[in-house]
Amino acid sequence: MGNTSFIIQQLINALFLGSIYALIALGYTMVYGIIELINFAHGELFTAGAFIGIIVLSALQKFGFVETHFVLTLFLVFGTAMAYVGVLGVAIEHVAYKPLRNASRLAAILSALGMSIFLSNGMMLSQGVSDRAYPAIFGLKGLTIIGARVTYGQVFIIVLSLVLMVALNMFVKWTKLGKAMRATAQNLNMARMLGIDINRTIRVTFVIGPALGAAAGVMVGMYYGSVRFDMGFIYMIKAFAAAILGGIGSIPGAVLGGMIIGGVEVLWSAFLPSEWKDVTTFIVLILVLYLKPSGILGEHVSETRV
Amino acid sequence: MAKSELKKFILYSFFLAILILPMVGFPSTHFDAKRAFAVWGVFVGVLALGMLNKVVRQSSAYQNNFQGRQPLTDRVSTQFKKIPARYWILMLLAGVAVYPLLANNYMVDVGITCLIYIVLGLGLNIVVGLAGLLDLGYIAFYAVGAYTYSLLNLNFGMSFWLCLPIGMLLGAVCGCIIGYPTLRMRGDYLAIVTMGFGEIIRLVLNNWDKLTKGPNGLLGMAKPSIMYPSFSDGGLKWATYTLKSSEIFTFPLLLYIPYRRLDGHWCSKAR
Repeated sequence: MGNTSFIIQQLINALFLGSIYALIALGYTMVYGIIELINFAHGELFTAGAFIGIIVLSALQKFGFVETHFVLTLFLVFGTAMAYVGVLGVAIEHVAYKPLRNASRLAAILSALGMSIFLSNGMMLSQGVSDRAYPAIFGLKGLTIIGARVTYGQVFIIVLSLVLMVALNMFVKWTKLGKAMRATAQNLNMARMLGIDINRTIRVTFVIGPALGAAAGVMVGMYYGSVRFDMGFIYMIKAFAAAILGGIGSIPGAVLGGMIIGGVEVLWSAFLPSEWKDVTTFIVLILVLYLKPSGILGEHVSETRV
Repeated sequence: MAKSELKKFILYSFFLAILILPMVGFPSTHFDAKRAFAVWGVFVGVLALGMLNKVVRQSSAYQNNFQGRQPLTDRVSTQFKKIPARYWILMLLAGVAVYPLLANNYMVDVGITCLIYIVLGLGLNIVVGLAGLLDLGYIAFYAVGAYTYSLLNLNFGMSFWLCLPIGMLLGAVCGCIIGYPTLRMRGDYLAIVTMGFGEIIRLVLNNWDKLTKGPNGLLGMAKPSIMYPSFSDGGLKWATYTLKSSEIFTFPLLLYIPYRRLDGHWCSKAR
């Protein structure tokens, strides 16, 4: 009993962490797929989402809204955070990436890095250097599956992230805008020649990707109970590892990569010294890049892209 | 022209309000309006200045009067370029020699920080500038050097001058270790892998408590000194001279590199 339940517990934790990495990795993969730029500011967008979540949630809690309208509260918190970060993403694209679209790749990457530092310092100045505590709204109640305990918060987070992933997949597959996005990802110039509004497509990508990251940020805040201005960096680099592992540019690949990275991290900290878990993640990233740069589900990556 | 700019300005300041007011206005649970609107005001002011600049430059009056003229910076730099380079170098050397004698301790400290950044920048210029490899984990080598000297000095009492080549050697070895697997890739992937390596080194130094004392860091290594015994007061000044002389020796070497054979290998990768 003890052993099985322990392993099932770890698998549930891995699913939870993996879905968060997957949500962040989706934003990366979409942006990289379309304009072939590592959006280094994505980690900060994630943190910004967590901060907006905390602001809305504590404001609602002050008025006693959480107890009376629980579901509406969740909608408001996630909705506001995602909307805010969507606007922020478009603003970043407009200020930092759009003028450099035809410049060298190095310039664009450095601009992204600068944006990341700017946002992280802006959040440090505006929200303070110390951790901000998230109001606990889920409590510790939960259900037991074969001896493993899952809180309702975890269940909600896993379900919400799955819903978001499925919705994204449906959007990209079945809507006209999604089709435009796929076309732009395949060949930007050709898509432009065929009459697709490239700027609008890129803007939509910069709304959706960061919005997913913001949802992940609120989830992390709700689950771990605190937010800090620099927490985005480690999530960013791990989510990037996930995106590369699954094959950058591929949406199912990002989800798979996120699950693998989450699984490796959780299982490592379950059985081996947990302070080295981040090192393991980076080693996985380096091994993947060394052995199979195109990732698990990615198509062949051309020489110019690698 | 000006009308569309005005429309743009209003739209942009509206977006800035959306972005800035909630994030800056809620450092705690209540809304701090003064702080939020102050920050927003600064951003809108900068935006207004930028837009004004643009409108003025595009106006017909400006175009008629100033179009043909060279910008002031260009005119100044052409004047400066008339002085031969050797005079500049002489002036620089004189300034470098006199600076520690005239400046107080704080300013010498600032000067040393500048010189350390110059050394870092020279190294980074080889990797990113000449070879075109975006290495975001470059700072890991800085850590390698710093920990080499600190550990050797604290544990074995080795002097700075002995540790300097050892640290350089170890840095080079680390560079080879990192370079071997990563140099197969380029561009973005290289950036992220080197960033990962930098993080690994940081995490190792942070977690290897027995050797590095973790996040507390190492304390009490001897300050570098030129003569024996160490200068208790003038040490700082001597440190500037040391750094400067090492830079004066490395500069010509670095200027020499781009014209040599290696240039072909490095710069072809960048192009």
